[in-house]
Amino acid sequence: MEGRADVLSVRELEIGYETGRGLVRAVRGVSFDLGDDESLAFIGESGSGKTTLGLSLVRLLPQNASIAKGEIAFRAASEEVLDLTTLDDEDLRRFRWEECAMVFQSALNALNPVMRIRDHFADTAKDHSETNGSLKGRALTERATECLEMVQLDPGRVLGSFPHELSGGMRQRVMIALGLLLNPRVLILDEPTTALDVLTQRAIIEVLRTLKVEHRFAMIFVSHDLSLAAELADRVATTYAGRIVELGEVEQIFYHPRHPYTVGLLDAVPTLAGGQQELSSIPGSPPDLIDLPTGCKFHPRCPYATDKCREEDPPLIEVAPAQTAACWHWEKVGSDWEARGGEIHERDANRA
Amino acid sequence: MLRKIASSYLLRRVAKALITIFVMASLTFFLIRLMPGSPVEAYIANLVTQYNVSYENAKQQAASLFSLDLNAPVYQQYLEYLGNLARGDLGESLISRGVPVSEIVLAYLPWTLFSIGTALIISFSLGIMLGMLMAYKRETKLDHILTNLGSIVSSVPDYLMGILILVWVGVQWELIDITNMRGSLSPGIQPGFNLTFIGDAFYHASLPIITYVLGTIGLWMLTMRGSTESTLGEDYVTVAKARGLKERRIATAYVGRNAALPPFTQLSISIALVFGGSLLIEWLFVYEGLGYLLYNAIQQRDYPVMQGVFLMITTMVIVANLLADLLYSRLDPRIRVAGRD
Repeated sequence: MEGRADVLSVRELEIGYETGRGLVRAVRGVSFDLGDDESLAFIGESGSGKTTLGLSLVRLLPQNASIAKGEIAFRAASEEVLDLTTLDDEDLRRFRWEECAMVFQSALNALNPVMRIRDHFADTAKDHSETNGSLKGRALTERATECLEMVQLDPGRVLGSFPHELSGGMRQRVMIALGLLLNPRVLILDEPTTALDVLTQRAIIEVLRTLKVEHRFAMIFVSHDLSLAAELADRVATTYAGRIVELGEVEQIFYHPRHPYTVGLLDAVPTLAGGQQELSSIPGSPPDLIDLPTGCKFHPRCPYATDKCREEDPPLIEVAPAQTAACWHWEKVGSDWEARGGEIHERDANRA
Repeated sequence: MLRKIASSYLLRRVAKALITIFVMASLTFFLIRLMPGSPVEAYIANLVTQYNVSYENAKQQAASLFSLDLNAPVYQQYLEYLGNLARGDLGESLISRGVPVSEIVLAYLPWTLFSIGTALIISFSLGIMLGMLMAYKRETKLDHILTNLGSIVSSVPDYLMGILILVWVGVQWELIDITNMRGSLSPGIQPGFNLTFIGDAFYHASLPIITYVLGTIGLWMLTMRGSTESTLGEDYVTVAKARGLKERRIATAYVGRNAALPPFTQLSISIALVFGGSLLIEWLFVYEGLGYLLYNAIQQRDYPVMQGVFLMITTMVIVANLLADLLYSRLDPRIRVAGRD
């Protein structure tokens, strides 16, 4: 955004999976910028390409996936701008975790079962010692202790433990702590709370919120959990069928959505205050990414769909300062929403 | 005390091994003593008819040889046998009069341990390395060739493998001098810590070792290939990549280390099989280990020696299993806490 230095710029990114049935277009023409200390949430249903997008930022796409076009520019700590799509293996290896760390969805199995937590820290530090200077012995323990304290774990207990001796929530926190070890510029969190119970989810959200306030680094969340986005994100991008359909500040997205899909997502979440409002799910299911519908990809499920929607895919239209939505009928969507009274979604504001 | 034993994995495992050895020793005793036409009776009858010794004398001789008191009730003989066993007294050889069985068995044991131990170490480490290579290069020509080789060698029985080596490499192609390779050492070589001795020991053990390696390596290769492939799909391997670890480190400490656990559990089973197979293999190559000793003892009806060899082989298998299990619990921390059984 204006005046803010962007650490990451993605332009017109296209990613496809080669499958037996044909090309799965998981990410289609995605563009966004990420500010230095900004947190951006990608929300959407399963299969909307969020995880693929996250993986592409550390170039960890599965074998059958490839970046068809687009660019990912990353401004490294050295102010050098790296083009992630063309980075060679060794540069890529160093880029990972030093510049951009990623906490995965499957935290329970993210740690090597035969290694103590301490050794996970040691391993990571050792293989990045060329750029970070060697961090070992006492200095390593100190740094690991610091990171574990940031995520509110007891380092004395955790460092000497094996992964199976820790609970799921603790393992997820260890992964976040491990992510902080090398002071990355960007931390990507892919469904960081999904596999956890509600209380543990809260604890993780608290940890992340504290981190966000106390430490300056950019975060990208990939989640279908709106409350996570509401509490942690500065900006929110709604993704549908592999593209961003609405992008704006968190308040704009939650209080003034202009895309019918965002509205649908918000209506599917229960509110704390209002018991009267009925929950509604979005009819239909996400489209087949191999055989996409013509025009706007959301039109088969959209109550506002017209002939124009069936023929022409809408571009991202500026609907408010810093807010864009890809909908031909955004004005009508907006006025309907405001008429219903956006305040029913205020629970998020109350909590935050 | 009992509770302490029960709570410690190590103690529990050692206790279990001791119990197994005890059961095994008891079975050996009752088999020899109570089978119809038992070796003891046969021996007595033999003495009486062949050497015209009086029955009483023959019985006394038999008792001293088997270190059994044949007049005592069976349970007393059994207790005495156990007592002797605990002191390492297995009786005396029938053929080499006056030589304790334990002495004979201990003289042959090192060669069996040496050849089997070396073979298992070579076969296991080579097998898991090849298995990993196959998984990393899966669906390539190399993988197909190695997979087929692995299944072929693991489906040929080891004694057949030995015979094939003997017949083809030794007799038909005359690539090696099988007559000179007989025995466990060349004549005149003194045991000692020097190159000549070690080289000669390996020279004589080489054919049994090659046979054991060929007999077991296929299993490790195929198991390791499968477990590496599934380990490669584990989340912690992807995460290790995301952490920017070096390929080498990931392949060893993350993939290999975890993938080697399933083949390692098969090691215990394999040890018993190889020990059993060694009886035939040693005879085949005239390698002077326990198997060779047993073969000769059977030929000469040297019952105390047979009994001694049986006991020694089972004890070795149990001890080897115990070691493999303890090592496994070191390799996989999850076992240490949860315990087993």
